[in-house]
Amino acid sequence: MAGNKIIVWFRRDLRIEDNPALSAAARDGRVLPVFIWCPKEEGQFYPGRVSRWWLKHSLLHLSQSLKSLGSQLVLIKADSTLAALLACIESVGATRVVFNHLYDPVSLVRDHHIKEQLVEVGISVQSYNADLLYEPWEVYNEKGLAFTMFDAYWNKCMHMQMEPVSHAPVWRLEQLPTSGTVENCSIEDLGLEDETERSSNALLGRGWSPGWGHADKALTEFIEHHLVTYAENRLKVGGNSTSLLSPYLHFGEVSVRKVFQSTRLKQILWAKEGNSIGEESASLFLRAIGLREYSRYLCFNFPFTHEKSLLSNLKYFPWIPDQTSFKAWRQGRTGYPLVDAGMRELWATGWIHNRIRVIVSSFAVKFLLLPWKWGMKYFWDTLLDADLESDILGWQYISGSLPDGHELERMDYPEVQGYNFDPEGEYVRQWLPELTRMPTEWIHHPWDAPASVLKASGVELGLNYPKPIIDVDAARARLTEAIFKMWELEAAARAFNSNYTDEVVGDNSAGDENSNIPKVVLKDMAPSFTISSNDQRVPTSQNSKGGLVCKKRPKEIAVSESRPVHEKLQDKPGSSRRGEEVCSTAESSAAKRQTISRDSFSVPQSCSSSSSLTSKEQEIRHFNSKQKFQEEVDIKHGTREDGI
Amino acid sequence: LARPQPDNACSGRERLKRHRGEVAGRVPIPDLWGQEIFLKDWMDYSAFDAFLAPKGVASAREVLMAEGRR
Repeated sequence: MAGNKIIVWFRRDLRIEDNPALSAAARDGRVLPVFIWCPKEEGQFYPGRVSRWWLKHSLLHLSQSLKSLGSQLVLIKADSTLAALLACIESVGATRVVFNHLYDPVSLVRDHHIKEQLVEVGISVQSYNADLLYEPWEVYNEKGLAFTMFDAYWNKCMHMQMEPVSHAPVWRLEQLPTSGTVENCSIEDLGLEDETERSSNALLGRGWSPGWGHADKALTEFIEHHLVTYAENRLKVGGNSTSLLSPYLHFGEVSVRKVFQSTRLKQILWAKEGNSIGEESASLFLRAIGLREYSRYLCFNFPFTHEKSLLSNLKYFPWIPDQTSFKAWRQGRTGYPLVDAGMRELWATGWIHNRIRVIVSSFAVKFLLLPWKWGMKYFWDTLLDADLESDILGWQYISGSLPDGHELERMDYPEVQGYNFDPEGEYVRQWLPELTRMPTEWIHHPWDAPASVLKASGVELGLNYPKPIIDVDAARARLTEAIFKMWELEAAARAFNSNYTDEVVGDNSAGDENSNIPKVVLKDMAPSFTISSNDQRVPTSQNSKGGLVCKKRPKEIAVSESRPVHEKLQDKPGSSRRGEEVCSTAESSAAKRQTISRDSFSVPQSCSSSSSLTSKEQEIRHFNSKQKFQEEVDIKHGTREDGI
Repeated sequence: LARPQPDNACSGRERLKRHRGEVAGRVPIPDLWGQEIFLKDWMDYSAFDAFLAPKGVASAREVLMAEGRR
């Protein structure tokens, strides 16, 4: 056993504790830990500035830890990961390579390729799950199909038995000397931080401490002192109301199983003590963890194949690619205080509350009609916890691509959100000192304030704080028009495609491109997959809570007020956006068939096959669960707990 | 300067809070982001879509699932 020489390939699992690949290797032989940086292979999603800063310091931290265990982290900058691994294998005479797997499309393909190649040259390879509570292929509904609603997914997860953590702690690693062929470079040589980035990055170092040791402390402190009030505090956008674990989780510096277990343990203790607030807090925090799981789950089970691209429901959206408004958004100069505060916090700290993420990203898409990719790329560059799957989930959530997310036509009034999420205006005052003296009544919509109030507060709109970049009513009219235009273009494209059926594979099934809930592509599953999601849906009309939710946000007028727009399009199969609202409850199976047939806008009989059900079902929206989902948060950057 | 300053006197939460207090309202966001030249390219979905659906992703998924179920 001890004669085995094993390469441990680190990626986004920068920790010692509960690291299955490292434990397995340490148990079976002598270990060479390596980190390979290969920018070429990262393509479109080469990590952004802030993410690379974090990675750099986390690697330093891990490197020191491995040293104190008796080993050394080999850092390699390469043009090909495979070539670098082969060089490591050769230089120590290794017979085995282990790593923890990742689920994003690029890593999936790369890892698969590397496994094949290594096996071909006689190297044994194993990969392990270090990133998730449940593998994406472990959680299906009773029909063996993937879930498309978070509540049902998470409910199922919470009733499954989790594999216990059984990865032995690693106390000692024996140094495995390398010979010639490996170029172990310094952390600086990896080039994670450009010269030009240093001054911006300097800010980050004052607010954050990357590395598994700090992750461990952050977790302990949160669990011991802040978890108990999470239910109440998580709603506050300023201050430290959430766990702040998202960057650590992204880089694998803390094991999600450990996070889950310590939370669950508290929950059990609080239940025993009759502390219902604590119990509720633990449950909400676990849901936030669940959203991160769900992001991997969705990306894995609904891969972006040629027929279903990311956010393809926006494929025909008439964006306004205006660089001036993008710059105003980026710089926090939109004239909407909550948005501007969020963008300034993002720049200065590399992190914002999930709800602020939802607000600023929705603003970019729905008020400014900026191409969503611009916003995503900016987030990618400035968020410490930038994470492909969570970010995708977040943008899908705000843009009508998820059955339990926001509808595309939903437009939230910034002032209403301000009063909901920053009731005293403290968050805005902290980040926008120019509004410090503004009375709370007007702080979220200074443009409505009487001139005397503005004067007394020292605010001169257009001078020391911008006027709104676009008026709310104008923005709403413009969004309505854009959606209308999008449907027209979609219909035109569909008509065109129906004449050339071979051209766009699978894209011309009735109404399919209207919604982005992709098809499950499990090969061994039944053909009409998405119907399964009806299992979790029930018309809201059966749900007495439906009305309450609406009352909560009286001013949150969606474009849906202009309902006629939708109805005009009713002749388009599958275009009826406005099915009965449905909610996701696990008990709802019995009602599911009716859900579809009772939909007020019926699908033409001729196509009421599974595909039309699918599209119909996809359009059914559920306000309740949506609302709940939103309250919990936390998508995107969110799913990172605090994420989106 | 960019290196995180270990500070045993206060926790990560406290550090971030302090940092916010120090920088809020005082940090101008630069006029140039540095990636403006790419904005036009990002209007196009195809490069992005191709990235998210790389060749071989279906079989890579299947193999990983098969291994995972072993």
